[in-house]
Order: sequence, then C-alpha cells, then structure tokens
Amino acid sequence: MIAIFSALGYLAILFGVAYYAEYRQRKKRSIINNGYVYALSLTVYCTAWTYYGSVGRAASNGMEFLAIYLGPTIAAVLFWPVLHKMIRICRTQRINSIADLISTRYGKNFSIAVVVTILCVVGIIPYVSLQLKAISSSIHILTGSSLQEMSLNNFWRDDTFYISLILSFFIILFGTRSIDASEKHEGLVAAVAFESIIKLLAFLAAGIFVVYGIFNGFGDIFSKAWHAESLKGLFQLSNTTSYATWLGLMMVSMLAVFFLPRQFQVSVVENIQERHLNKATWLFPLYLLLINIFVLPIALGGKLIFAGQGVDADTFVLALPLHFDQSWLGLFVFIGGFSAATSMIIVETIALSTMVSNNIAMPVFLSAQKFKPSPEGTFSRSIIHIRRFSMVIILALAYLYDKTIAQNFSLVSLGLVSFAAVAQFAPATLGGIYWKGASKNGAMAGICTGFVIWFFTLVVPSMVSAHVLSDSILTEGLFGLSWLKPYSLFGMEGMDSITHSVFWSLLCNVLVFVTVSLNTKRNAEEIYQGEIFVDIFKHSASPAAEVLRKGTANLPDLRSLLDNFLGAERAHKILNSFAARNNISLETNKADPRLVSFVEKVLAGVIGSASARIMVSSVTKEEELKIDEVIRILRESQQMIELNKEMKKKSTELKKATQQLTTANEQLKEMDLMKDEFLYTVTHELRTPITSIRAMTEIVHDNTDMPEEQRQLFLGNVIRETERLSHLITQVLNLERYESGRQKLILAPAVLNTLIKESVESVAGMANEKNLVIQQQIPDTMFMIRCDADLLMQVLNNLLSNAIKFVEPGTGKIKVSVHSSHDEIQVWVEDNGKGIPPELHELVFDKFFQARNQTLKKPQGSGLGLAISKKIVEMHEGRIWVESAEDNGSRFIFTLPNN
Amino acid sequence: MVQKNHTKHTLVLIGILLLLTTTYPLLSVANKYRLVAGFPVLYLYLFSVWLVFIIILYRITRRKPTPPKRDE
Repeated sequence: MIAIFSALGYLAILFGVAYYAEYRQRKKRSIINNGYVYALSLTVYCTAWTYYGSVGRAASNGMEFLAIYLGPTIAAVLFWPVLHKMIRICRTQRINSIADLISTRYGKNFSIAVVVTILCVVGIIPYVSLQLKAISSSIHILTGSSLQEMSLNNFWRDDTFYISLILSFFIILFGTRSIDASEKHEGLVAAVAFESIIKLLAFLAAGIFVVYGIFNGFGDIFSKAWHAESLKGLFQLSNTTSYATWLGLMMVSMLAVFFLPRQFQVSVVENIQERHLNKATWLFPLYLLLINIFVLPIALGGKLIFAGQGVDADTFVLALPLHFDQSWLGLFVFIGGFSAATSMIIVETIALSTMVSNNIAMPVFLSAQKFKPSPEGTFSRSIIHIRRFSMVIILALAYLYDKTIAQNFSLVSLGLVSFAAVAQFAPATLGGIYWKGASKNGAMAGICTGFVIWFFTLVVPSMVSAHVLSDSILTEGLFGLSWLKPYSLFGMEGMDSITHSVFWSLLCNVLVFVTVSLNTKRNAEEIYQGEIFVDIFKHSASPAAEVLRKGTANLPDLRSLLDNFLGAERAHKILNSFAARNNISLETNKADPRLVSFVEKVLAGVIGSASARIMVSSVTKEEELKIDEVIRILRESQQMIELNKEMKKKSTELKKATQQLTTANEQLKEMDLMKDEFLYTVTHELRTPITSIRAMTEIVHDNTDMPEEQRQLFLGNVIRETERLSHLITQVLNLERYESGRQKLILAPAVLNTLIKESVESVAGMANEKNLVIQQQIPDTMFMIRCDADLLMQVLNNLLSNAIKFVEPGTGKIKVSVHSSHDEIQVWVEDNGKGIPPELHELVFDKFFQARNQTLKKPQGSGLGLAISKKIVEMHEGRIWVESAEDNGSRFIFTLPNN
Repeated sequence: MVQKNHTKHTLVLIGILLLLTTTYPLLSVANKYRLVAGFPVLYLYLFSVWLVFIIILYRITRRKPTPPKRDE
C-alpha cells in the first residue's frame, strides 16, 4: 500500500509543479524559459526502459545498451543543423505534431496525415504499455508480492488498471487546458523537467549504493566480475552483438530523438526560444552519460549477488537495495522509476492524442456535421472533448496491449520496436526539409513501404509469440515462401531482428521515396510548401511569402469560423492584433488574402493543418492555384528581399552622392558669381581706355585745324591708351590660361640672382622716373632653381612695379632680398609706401581687387598683376603673401621650393 | 549568418567524428576483454570519448552564443 500512496503523493507534487509553472506563465514570468529546463525536458527520452531495462540489457548483452545513448548524442550534435530548422518551420507554420509536419510539407494532404498517425499509434502503443508494465512490476517488487498476471476478466483487481486510470485523469487535466495545441504547455514541460531530475537522482543513488555500499567501488565490482566466468562476455560487446547491430542501434536511436512523438513534442512544439538549443546540445548528452555510468556496475553487481536465484535483471536497480533491506532507498528508487515511466506516458499520450484528434477524429467529426456557423464555443468544447477521448483511448489500448501481448517481451525489445517504427518518418521528413523535389506520392509510398516491412519483420513475429499467428511463418516464411521469413527477409542472415528490420525497412523506404518523388508530378501546393520548408530561413524573414491563397472570402465568414473554434473573445483579439500589425482594414466585407492564410494558420494550431485547410476552403471561393503562379509568388517574395537589400545599399550611396552634388553646386554658384563679377570688371576696365581713345580721336577728327603740337599730344595719348588696352587683354588671357591649367611650365635650371638682377634692370626706367633707387640684398650664394624663367620674371616685375607705384617719389625706398632655409627660398620685396590694412592682406591677390574697391585712390595698372603672380607662384609649388601694417610700408614675400 | 553557418558546419563535422570513433573499425580497438586501471577497456574508452565530445560541444555552443531570435 505504501507504494501506491507514495506514487499518488508523487503525482500530487507533480501536479503542484505543473500548476505553479502555469501560474508563472500567466504572470508572464515563465520558469521554463531557459536552456536548462529545455534540455531537461528533452530527457523524457529516458523512460522506464532506461531506468530498468538498460540494466537488464547490460546483464545479457554487455555494453550494447550504450549504443542507444550514443545515437542520441550524435542527434544532439545535429540539434543546430537539423532540429533548428524543424523548430523554425513548425513555429512559422503552427505545426504541432510530426504527422502535421509531414502532411503540411506535402501539400497539407489528409491521407498522409492519417497514415502517419496510424503508424505512430501502432508503433508507440507497445512502448506506452511497456511503461505501465514497468510501473506495475516495480510495485510488486517493492511490496514483495509475487507478480500475478491478471487476466482481462478481473481487471478491477489489477494495479495497472488503476494506475492507467489515475494517469489518464492527470493527463487530461494538463494536456487539454488550452484549445490551441500549438500553444505551449508550460506546466507539462515543468513537470517533465522535474521528473527528469528525480529519475536521475534516484538512479544515481541506486548506483552509488551498489558500487560503494555493497561493493568497494568500481575496481572491486569489476575485479570480482572479472573472476566470474559467466560474466566474461559483459565486459565488451557480447557475441550476439555484431558491429552492424551496434551501428544499427545507434542510427535508430538517433532518429528516435527527432521523430518519436514525445521527443517532437518537447523539442519542437514546446520549444520557447531557438537559442535554448545551445544548452541542450551539451546538457542532453551529459545527462545521458550520467544516467548510464552505473548501468554496467549494477548489472554486474546484480549478477554476482543474485547468481542462480532467477531474479529478472530488468529489476536489479530496485531489487538490490531491497535485498540489503534499504527500504527507504528502495522507495526512492521506485519513485525514480515511476517518474521515468509517467513522464513518458504523459508526454507521449498528449502528443499522440493531438495527432489522433486532429488527423482522424476531427475530419470524421467535421464531415459528420457539415460545417455551419453555429453558436459560439460549441466547436472549441467539442475539440477538447475529442482530444480527451483520444487520450483515454490511447491509454486503454496500451493497457490492453500490456495485458495481452507485452507479457512475453523484455522492456528493451519492446522499446526498440517503437524506435524502428518512427524511423520510417525520417526519409519523408528530412527529405521534405532539405529536398524541394520530394513529392507527396513519394513520401506516401516510402512511409507505407517502410511501415509494411516494419510490421512484417517486427510485429508479425511478436504476434506469433503471442500465439495470434501460427509459427510456421517464422520457420517457413509467409505463404511458405522461404524468402519471406520475418527474421531473414530475402534470405539475409546474421543480424538481430531490430537491425534486420531497420535495414530493410529504411532501405526500401528511402529507395521508394526517392524513385517515386522523381517520377511524379507535384501540385502547386506541394511545390509551394516545398519551397517554404527548404528555404525556411529565407522565407520566415519575409512576410510577403505568406500571401498564397488565391480566392475570395467574406470577412464575416472567417470571423464566425474563428469564433467557433476559439471563442468570440479570443478570435476577436487575435484578428484585431494581426490586422493592426499588417495594416489590414477589418471594415470591408471582403477579406484580405493575408487574413485568409492567417486564419488558416491559427486554425492549424487548433485542429491540424489538413483540417484547417478544409475548414477555410469551405468559406472561401477558391481559384485553382496554378503552378507557374506559385513559382511567381515565391520568386517575387524572394526578389523583394534582395531588392530591399539593394535599395538600402543604393540609398546610402545616393545620400553620399547628393552631398557631393550639393557641395559641387555651391562651388559652381560661387564660381558663377565670380565669373559675372569678372566679366563685369573686365568690360568696365576695357571701356575706360576705349572711351578715352574715342574721345581723343573725335577731337582730332573734328578739329582739322588743330595745331600740330596738340594733335601729336592727342595721338600720343591714343597710342598709350591702346597699349594699355592690349596689355590688359594680354593679362586677362594669361590669367585665364593659368587658371584653366592650359599654361604648361617650361622648367629649366636658372639662377635666381640673375633673374632678380635682370628684373631690377627692367624696371629701372620706372624707378628713375620717380627718382628711386632699388636696393638689392642678395647673398653671394648662387641660388639654382628649376623654374619657368619668363614667368618668374613676370612675378618679380609685378611686385617691383607695384612697389614703385605705391611709394612717394624721392623719399621712397625699395629693397629686394633673398632668404633661404633648407627647404625653401624666400624672395622679399619691401617698400616704405602707405601699407595695406590687415583685412586686405588676402584680398589684394584677388582679380581686379582695385577695380572693386573704387574708393581707393586709383593707381595705374590692370588690377590683375598680383592675381597672376599668385597663380604663377602656386604653379611653382610656392606660396605668396604680404606682411604689412598701415602707413608702415609693406613686404611681399614669395617662396620657391629649394631643391 | 556566416558565423552561424560556420558553427553548423563544425557541428556536422563533430557528429561525423563521433560516429567514427564510436563504431567499427575504430571501436574494435577497445572491444577487448581486458581491464585497464580496474575498468573494462571498452567501458573506459566509450565513456571517455563521450565525455571529451560533450566538453567540445560545451565549448563550441558557449563560444558563439546565437543572438536571440524574434519570437512571433
């Protein structure tokens, strides 16, 4: 009795954990939203089979049991490469079971969902019944009563019956709280994680007790077993385990981690964040390692202690503590095994019931009462009832199986049959998410072929042992055909039954799947789903890809559809938030296509994608989708993404270009203004001499009787003005040449001293006129420079003649001097004229500076001299500037590079 | 994305290595009837290989934390 009560107490604690988790979920402070809980929930993989059966397997086949945990380790390595993709697909498509995943991939096809569901139920029921068997046998060991197999006729005296009853009650409470099956069951996950901790601790406690309590550590156990002749085989792979078997077990258990309904439930459907895979990748294998460390020592210890007593090795974990009167430890170990079994039953039943209700019961139900918008809530209640009913059916089937067939098998062999069954989904699923060419017919044919071979090679023999079929099938083959023996199909020998079955079924499954896929035409929906699934990481980033539904629906129809399945309040909330997110108006009568596919997805979360498709179709006037249209839509959404990326790049480029344009434009405007000014001043400058030439020639022309002397004076003036005019024009042309860069320098070596001397000589006439002496202060060094001598002479002439112009006759002093440093030569031209105010120091080098400052007393000259000089100096890579204070003379300095 | 794909490729490689080290023919090296340091050699071999790979996995998945995804 104590066993029953502690089991009930344990269930109550479990209930509390789950309840607390859901309470936290409602408060938006989830306790399961972390990688550790996620990894722990994955260890629902370790069931009563691991807990009790591994030891049993180790006691007969040595290290073979470990393959069943090394396979999942490889699967864990592939979490990021494979499981991540499945999670993303299921999240975006609101998929909530493995059957749904396969049917959605292959065009939301109904029949394929049904086949997968049936295969799951047939394949998994034995596995669930195995857990029931483990619970009831562990109760018997704990209580010491002999295990009497109750026949079905007096089930009310059977513990297993009541356990199943209590469990179904528990599962119904937790599995059907929410109508939306794609919604997270946080309470469930928390409970499973809790159970994972309990079973690990209990098993480790048993292991430590055996190794350190009964024996003196690992070394002691191993060395004692070493001397026992009968245990020799357990130290390595036993004779019955070939390397092929080892590999086969690893493969099949690896696939089981992805495709067992309960694994799919916790790893894909209940996944909250994809990054939790990071922790699961190493934590899940670590858990498996820990729970397996003591398996072999316990098996050896049990064999040593119970030698010849006929104790079932499957029960060693529990029997050893009890044998040494550790009843409390025994109770703890029992609870650990109980938790391993219950966590599996709970999750598996929920996963299976979702499949059964969505893919088998719902369609029957929906076709039985032709869908009509009916008063709110009726459907949602019916769905929950259907799901509850499926749970009870599944547990009842498991119970029945336990009572009829399961009695004849050990724990592990039953579990492996299930593994082999779900492995049949691997080709269709993996092919479906990595190969666009996979077709519905291929998947269907592949799964069916695999199913038939699995059934024939594993289930038929078990029926023979249960005396349902005659054993002539085993010995002589089906219909007496010797190549149709279940354990050596086509005459292949030398493998154990599981590896044999997996080899043939998967081989044929894959071959048929690929061959049929390559030779069948796919319809539009299949092509579309194939694109979405294979390129999910591209498509889940673009909402445009969701618009596929072509067809018109009335918004009120869609609304009432959702109302019926979700209840008016929730339907209203969901629709509004989606409409707001996507800027869709809910006022119109005709529904937006995006809204139609959204409604379908939401419904898929509740009733499965195939049923959802039918429901939505019933209210839409759908146009047949053409294949080229599907491809067009997909390509467009793909192009949109790329276009978007390009646009972003272009826009930054554009911004840069705009900025450059703006600055260029400003420069242009400035230059335009300068040009205007230039033209204005040039014409102005030209007009002055022309006016005076004209005036004087007119005078000469009109006064024929003018005295000869006067005439000469006038004509002399005309000549001077003409010269000035031509000088001005030359200057303008020169300046233009320099500025446009058309003037090329003719560089030649020259001696600066000579240039200065020549220049001073050339202006000597002007200086003499004003009675000035030009002082030269040039060092004796010869300054050799490379320059265009003519142009440099122009600069010197300009500066000197300017100086002459601006000093007072008689008292003016002008000095030319040369100063050199290691990298440049400076030429100074100083005068003691009236000087230049500091604010004009830069302006004097502008074109027509004088002209624009008419207020200054106008001296002679074009006003271009300094501008030209500046240009020439700059062409020689030098600088020119002026230092001056008002009324204190000025000093013009230009530099030339010293080379 | 490139970084993430790199991690995925590394993981696939590790999976292949794990498969190689734990199956025939490499497994036959350890599949002997012998005790090493008091442990059966196959037991010792498999558990140490296993542990080494778990440590490698731990380091790889820790080194490059994947940025959190937008959950819809």
